[in-house]
Amino acid sequence: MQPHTNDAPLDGNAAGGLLSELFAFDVTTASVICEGCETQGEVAQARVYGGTMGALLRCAHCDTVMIRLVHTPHGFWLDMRGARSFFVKPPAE
Amino acid sequence: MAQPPISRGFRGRKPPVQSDRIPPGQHLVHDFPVLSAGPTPHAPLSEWSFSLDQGGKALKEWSWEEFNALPQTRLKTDIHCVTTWSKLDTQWRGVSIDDLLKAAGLAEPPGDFTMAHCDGDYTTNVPVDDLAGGKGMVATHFEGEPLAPEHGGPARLLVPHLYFWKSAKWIRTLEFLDSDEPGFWEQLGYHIYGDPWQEQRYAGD
Amino acid sequence: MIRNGSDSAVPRRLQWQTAEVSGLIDETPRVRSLVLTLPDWPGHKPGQHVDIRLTGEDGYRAQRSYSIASAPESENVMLTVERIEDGEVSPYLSIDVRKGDKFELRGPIGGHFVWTSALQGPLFLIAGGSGVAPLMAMLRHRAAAKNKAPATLLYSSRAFEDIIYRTELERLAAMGDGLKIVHTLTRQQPAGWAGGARRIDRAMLESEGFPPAARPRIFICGPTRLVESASQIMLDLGHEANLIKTERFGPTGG
Repeated sequence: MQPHTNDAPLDGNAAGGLLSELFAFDVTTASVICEGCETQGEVAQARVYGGTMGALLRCAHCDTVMIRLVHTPHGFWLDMRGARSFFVKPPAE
Repeated sequence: MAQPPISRGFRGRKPPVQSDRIPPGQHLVHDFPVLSAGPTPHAPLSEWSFSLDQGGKALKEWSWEEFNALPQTRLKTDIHCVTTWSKLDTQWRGVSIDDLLKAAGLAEPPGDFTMAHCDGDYTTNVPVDDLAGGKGMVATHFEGEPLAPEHGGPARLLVPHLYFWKSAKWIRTLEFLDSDEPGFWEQLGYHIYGDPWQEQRYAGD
Repeated sequence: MIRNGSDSAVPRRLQWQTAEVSGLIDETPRVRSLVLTLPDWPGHKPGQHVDIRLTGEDGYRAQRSYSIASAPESENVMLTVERIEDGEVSPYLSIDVRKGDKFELRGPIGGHFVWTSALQGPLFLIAGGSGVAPLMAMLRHRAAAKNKAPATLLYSSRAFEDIIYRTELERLAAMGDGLKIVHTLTRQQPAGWAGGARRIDRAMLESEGFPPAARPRIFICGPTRLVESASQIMLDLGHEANLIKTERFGPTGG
């Protein structure tokens, strides 16, 4: 995703490359239930913030931080406490 | 891939500067980059408050008007962002942590550590020794103007001798703690203390 | 042959590979397209993006995402880069880079903002500035697949000379296969300009788009402000949320 120096967020699909370093499937097409407002939505439609220190995916409805990702020289950090659950469709045949 | 291709002629940003005012691995900027972990809050000042807390209770709370009536401290200082930019001679105005403690009637800080709580669910941890003794303030003005929302206005913590993520934007509460607890970025691989001169960027540095 | 792209049954781990610049096309004074040759490209779907990573001689690295502008049917992968003043990567890609230069690339990425000819219904594409790039991949794919379903591109640029892919868009619209192109110029219009002369607004979206009953698939790509206002208007006009896909473009660290 693009590190951006503006405070405008990008869509969740922008984090696809970063998430692919951790997951074997395309997380951006999964749906996620936000821990803050219990809304279900596609990861691709969440808001991505803070590309320079790490990536944050916030709920498009209530701004709750659902996923935090930080890539340091020592490894990958992932926090998903704001995401209650994911629904992943199997890849198309 | 073991050996990435060199992109001929790609330099990216300017190389790190050798200077006794620029910590290792940093480069100098003249603008003021904006890094945000969330949407910029635009709540009216009439709804703004700032408090010193302990154990979930406010020791003292100020409205915007009350906060601005506190003694003002001016500070000219250099700031260093963990994303490797440094900015020299920035000028700030606000209320020092010493004056906040005094105004709250506290002779001693009620804990050795603090957690700054901000609009947008952002937190960061700073030891009291790095705030008291003239080291930190809650800043409301930058370069003589009210602090712009994208830079943390109406008020941000200012701890200029640590990496700038510790100078939390949109601060609303400073909570006193007996032990050090990691904040928003500190839980996710960033250094618990963040001294730019020791290049403490990440946990394990 | 249309390749499988990210649809393949076995999930494929993204790997960095070395892209070589095999062609350069100046699109506008501020925008350049890069044609890339890739050793191992699984194919893509229109709307997907790639990550690219540059490494300087001193080891300094920078990474950015760019939409793919070429159709899956095309032999090469094309990216379109708009120069952002004071940017770190886009000035390099839009000015300095030469044929034969190499950098790392991984992709294709993203399964959300995609359209293929197999999808039913009319297609309504809404673009601002260089946000037209992934939508161009859709239009190129549509033409290659000989899809005749009605399609409209509503495209906002600052001035006439800032219109990216202008002659190719004219050619596509002249094919008579149900594609309509509507330009609007927000800052400056040439004498005798017959297109729009303001930002994309409700009246424009209502008159140029399809009625909600036609269930068009709607793709909006551009600056945040355009994406937010256009997607909200489309919802207000009664279009279903799950038919509206958005992708925000910078302004970024470039």
